[in-house]
Formats: sequence, structure tokens, C-alpha cells
Amino acid sequence: MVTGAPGAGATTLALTLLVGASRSGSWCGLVGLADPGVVAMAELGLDLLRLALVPAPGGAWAEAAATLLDGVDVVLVRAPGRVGLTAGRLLSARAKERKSALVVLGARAADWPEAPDLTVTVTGSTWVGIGTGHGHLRGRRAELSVTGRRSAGRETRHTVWLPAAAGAAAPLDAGHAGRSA
Amino acid sequence: MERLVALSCPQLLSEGERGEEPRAFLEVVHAVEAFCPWVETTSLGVCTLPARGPSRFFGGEASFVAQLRVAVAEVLGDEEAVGVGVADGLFAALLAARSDEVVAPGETAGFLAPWPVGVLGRPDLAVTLPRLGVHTLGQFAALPTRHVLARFGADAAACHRVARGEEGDLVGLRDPAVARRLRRLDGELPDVTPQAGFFGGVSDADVRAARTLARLQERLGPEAVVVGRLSGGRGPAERARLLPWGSRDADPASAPVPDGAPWPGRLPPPSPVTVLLRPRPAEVVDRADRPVRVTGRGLLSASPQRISVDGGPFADVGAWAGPYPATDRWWSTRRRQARLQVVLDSGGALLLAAERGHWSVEAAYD
Repeated sequence: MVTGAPGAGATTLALTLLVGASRSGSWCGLVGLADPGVVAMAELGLDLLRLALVPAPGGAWAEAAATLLDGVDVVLVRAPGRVGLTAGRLLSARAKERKSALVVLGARAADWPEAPDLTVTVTGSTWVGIGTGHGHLRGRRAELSVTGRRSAGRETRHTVWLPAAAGAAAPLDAGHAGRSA
Repeated sequence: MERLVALSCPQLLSEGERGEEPRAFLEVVHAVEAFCPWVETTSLGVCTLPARGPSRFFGGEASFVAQLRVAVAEVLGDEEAVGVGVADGLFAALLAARSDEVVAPGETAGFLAPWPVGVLGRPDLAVTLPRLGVHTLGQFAALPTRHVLARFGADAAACHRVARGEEGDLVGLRDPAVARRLRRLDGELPDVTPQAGFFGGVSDADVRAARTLARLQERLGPEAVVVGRLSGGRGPAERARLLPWGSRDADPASAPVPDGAPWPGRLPPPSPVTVLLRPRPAEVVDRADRPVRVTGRGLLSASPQRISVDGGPFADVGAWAGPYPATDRWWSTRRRQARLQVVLDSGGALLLAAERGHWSVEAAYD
């Protein structure tokens, strides 16, 4: 599960989690990203030829996600507010059964009814490269908090470029955006 | 089980020496598609479509079947040239088309009972079952389920469920090569290989995904499942398009518009991950709360200090860059736009566009 305050970069982070699978030829599906930035997705490294979007599933978002889990390897769902126990369990079970990955994007961790295997929260972020009237958005330094169940239980903190200047995410030392900041 | 209409054209079931049958059948499919877009070609000369939706629209099942029959007869020039059947599930619908009947809901097992076991399309069962005195689907259906599973295995058990009218679909009822061939004939797919756009060819995963997306479209509508394709243009909304999955332009084999043309006014990456399908009106004001404008020379009248989106509360601007001018000729109207990147004090970043003195939020960098 990926959470964060609006505008802090949770959407970029969630999409970034799909990049590895997408690059290796896996199909990805996005449910409920109502206004998708396709160019940014390509810049992040997603293969548009193997990316399907259901931007406005309305009330059928859980059904759309469950159907996608049947046929694609990674499904990203933006939860429409608090998710009920039935829908949450159905999707978690379907993902396990199909050996697909489910990434849930929500405003708060409490929006998802079950404890996810891993929760990544964008706790803070700063854009660099832009001043008052000069420069342009070059990259965003984001602070992440990662918690999980079982062996991943202890919280760890990381700082990453989300995205870096080229549009893809990068570990902090590999980015170039910081130089002009 | 979905209620299906099946059409079977006996003259077109196999390809003759002159090879005219696929093209003739394609014309039949086009005629049927005029009633409903969800036509599935199951094999050469045979296609199916959902019964419920179109029946409601065309005045009931009987009336819908009659209209279909007339439309196909017109194409083939022969009223006897098509069998139309309606039944629950694909297997029963295909047989109903062969015998040209409408099977009432819930009467599937009774309809199937007299057919010989050979119609299951399982050569081993067609030989073995009659030796055991089981000649018809009805007799087969009467065998105890666990005996069928134990004696003949899982596939026979699936056939058994179909014979009992419990399930409607069987492996092997469809010939996917026919659907591909018709689409090629129709010019929807290039003639080389149907998946030329995928580097390294098409994988099982591609086929699985395609099937899933088509199923999702059946439930939510064709426009609900889209793919993104890059195109030329300056603004984030113009640089990419969302196309329904399966539409001609969305086919990976259709040549992509080369991206990377020198578009003046295009913003450098990273691009916004949220591009609003409908831009939202915004107000941009300076330190003295006066509206900020883009001047005729493409400069801002003052430094933006605060912005409000959709009439909401004003938020302080922490940093900004622009304006990036963009002048597009769109039909005959000359549009003059300028874009502004804004970072709010809250940390979020927005892309604003100004046109004729009005600001709007075009995109956000979440």
C-alpha cells in the first residue's frame, strides 16, 4: 500500500513500484487514476504497450481490479476513500491466488481494511530546480517511511528522487536534480 | 450463464478451393455488428453475441432474431443460408444455431439431451461412451459426476457439467485463428503478424491480458478500458492520447507518432503524473491580490503570490516558473496559451495554463 498527503508524490511512488515489472515485459493495470498523466508514466519507465487503464470505474472499481488481477501481473488501484472489508479481502485473496501484485494507493493507511504486506508512506517531499520566476521543476526529494508485516515489521526510512530530472525515480545519490537546487 | 445468440452459416463453415468463404463471412459479421458491437467469431461461419441487451433494444428476443435473420439473408442472398439459435451458454447456443431454435432459459439440459455425444468435440469420448451404451448427451448427463471424473478425467467432467446444463463453455469451442484472420482481412491488423508492434513477439501474457481487457470492456463498456499512446504536442494533455483498448489506433502495430520533435514551448521532464481531463478554473493573484495576467509579450504582469482552484481557499505560492508560451493553430482559431509551474507552500506542484486572461489547472505533480 502507498499513502501520502495529496501532492506529496504518492501517485508517482505507486507508479514507480510498477516500473520493474513493466520493464521486464509484465502487463500492468491502473484502476481509478481518473486523470492519468501518460507522458509521466512513460518517463517513469512504464511500457505503455503493456499498460491498461480503467480511469473511471465508478462503483465497479473493485470488480474492475478483480478482473484485471486475472489477466495482468500488477494492478494499481486508487481506493475511493475507505474500502470495505469484503472488497479488501476479495482483492487481497484474488491477488494471492493469481500470484499477481496489488498496489493500493490511498490517502491514509486506514483506508484499506487489512494489514498490507508492505506500506510505503511519503512523509514529506521538496521540489528542486524551481525558484521564484526561474528554473523549472527538475526533481523531487521525497522522504519515505516503509513498514510491513512479519520480517519487514520494523519501520525504515529512505530518501529518494521521486522523480529525478529525467522523469524516472532514482535513489538519492544517482539523481542530478540536486545540483541546481 | 450468459444468454447468447449464435449464428451459423452452413455454406461458410469450411474454406473451399476459391477461398471466398472468409470474406463472405466477414460481411456477415459486419451485418451482425450493426446490431451489437460484441460479436465474437467462434469459428469460420459461426459467430455469437449477447442476447439480453440487444433483445431489449430490438423489441424482444424473437424480434431480434428475426431482424438478424433478415440482415444476414440480405448479405448472403439466401434466406436458408443462416441458422440462428438462442440459448444459455456458448455450447448450447452453438447447437441451437445448428438446429435453428430458441431454447428457453433454464431448459438447456432438456434441449441438449437428444444430441449425440460426438457434438462435444472429444474424439475419445465419442468412441468410448457409445461402447458403454451412452449415446446421447442426456445419457451422459445421467452418469454420476464422480464416476465421470474418476473414469475419464477433468476434461470429461467439464463436458459432463456442460451436458447437464450447469456450465456453458468448453475448451475448444472457439478457433482464435479465425478471429485473427478475419481482423486481418478487415484491415484491422497488418498482414505480417498480428502483434508486430511487440518487440520480441507476442507472449502468453499478452494473450491473457488481451482476453482480460476484452472481458472488462464487456462489463464496463469499450470506453472504460483505455491505453495511453504518445503523440506530438506541447501541453501534457496534447502529448498523449487515451484510446479504447482494441481500437485501431491503440493497436501496438499501428505506427506511433514519433515523439521528440522539437516542439517549442514544451516543458522539460519530469511531466505531471496527473493530467486533468477537464481543466479546473483557477485564480492567480499577486501580492496586492490583483489578478496576474500574461502580457502580450509573454511575460507575467506580476509575481504570483497565491492561487485558488475552483473557487476554493487561496494557497500560498512557494516557487514558480514560466510562463512557457504556446501558440497552437487549432482549426481556424488562433489559440494563445501560456503555462506556469507552481509549487505551493504545502509542497504540491501544479501546472497552470492561461488563455485569454483565464487561468486553469491543467495538471498536478502528485
